[in-house]
Amino acid sequence: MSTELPDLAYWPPELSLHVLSNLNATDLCLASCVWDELAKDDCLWHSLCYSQWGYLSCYFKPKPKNFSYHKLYLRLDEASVTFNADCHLGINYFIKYGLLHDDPQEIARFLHKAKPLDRTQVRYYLESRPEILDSLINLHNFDNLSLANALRKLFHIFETPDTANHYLHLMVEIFSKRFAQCNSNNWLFRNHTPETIYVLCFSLIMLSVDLSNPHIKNKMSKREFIRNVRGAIRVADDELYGHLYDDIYLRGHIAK
Amino acid sequence: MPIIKLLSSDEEPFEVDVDIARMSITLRTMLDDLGIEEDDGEPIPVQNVNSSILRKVIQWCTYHKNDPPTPDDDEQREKRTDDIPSWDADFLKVDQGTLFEIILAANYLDIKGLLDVTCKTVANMIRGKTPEEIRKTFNIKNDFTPQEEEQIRRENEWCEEK
Repeated sequence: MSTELPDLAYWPPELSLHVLSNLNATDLCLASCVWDELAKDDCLWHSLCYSQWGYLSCYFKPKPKNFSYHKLYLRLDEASVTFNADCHLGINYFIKYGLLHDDPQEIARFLHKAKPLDRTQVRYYLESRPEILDSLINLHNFDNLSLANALRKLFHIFETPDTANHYLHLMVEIFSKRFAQCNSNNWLFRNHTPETIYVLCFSLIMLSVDLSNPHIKNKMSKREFIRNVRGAIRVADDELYGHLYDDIYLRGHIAK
Repeated sequence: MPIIKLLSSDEEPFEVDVDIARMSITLRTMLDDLGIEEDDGEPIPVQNVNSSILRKVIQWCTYHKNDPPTPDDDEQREKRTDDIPSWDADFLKVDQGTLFEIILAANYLDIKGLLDVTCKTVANMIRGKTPEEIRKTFNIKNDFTPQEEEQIRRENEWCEEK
């Protein structure tokens, strides 16, 4: 019995493809210098495209004659590099080459699933397209999460601006509506509306800053927090506010 | 726990828990089709796998018998090969010929988890290597003429910019 690994070209094809399906695009290109035909197999490039750009309008269109996922991958890579340098040029590139329809819902679905995009450029883009931000947040699910963890999820997905600007307010406003919608059957929030959740979110953001900033010496107490929130939204729900205070106190900042 | 007997291609018998044998889809189908639930005296032949490889396969299955079922191939799964559990990495520290035999056995017996982890191990031998290093790993002679070599290099220029 041979103690060496046979040349991949002589393996049963389904097994050599299984091996190569574990490689990323760079390694696959290098491997194609050795196994030209094998590494150019379009099923490998098909799965690489879908693993990096989960949603594209062009996936659902009839394919042109000499289409290959290998070529598509190179095009998408170029488009993403462009996006990461300048988000607007990048999106225009995707649209110009027919990869993406110029439609807010389509662009939101695309951003939802695209992995190679720079977070800061995504934020710049969303700052200029509030309707896409709205669609995008609504693609996410926030049920079965406490409000604090749902906010953590939000700030994990989206980059937070350095200052509490208009974009942050808009983001939290859309989130509050979505959270209320996802939790309409949640008994804990029976007394709350998107408006009161919005105020609660900002109370939690401020509490996070208060508790985690080392320069603030006199920390807000649980009693003060409950009183402040109740004063701001005029809904007596002290148990919920107390739980939220404990959550921030124990688990830390909401946006980090 | 009911036990069944397997017979390797070189006719060595192995006694295995039914649940462990059933991790192989090939054996599971066979057991279901034949209505076998436990040892009835007749060993089940595993034609394409010799005793040293079958021993390894059974060892792997025994260690992994309580694993949750592997999820179906998700298109959006991240391509990664750095997530091989340390037990498996140690288990697969075998010569390359044996590794290849285990891959063939995992494929024949249809044991997805074992096939995945062994193919990943081979992928790791390719990852991050230049074509020249890959050829050395797989003992491949470079039979391209310098012109052909240049042609292929040009076609794949993109990856070298990365």
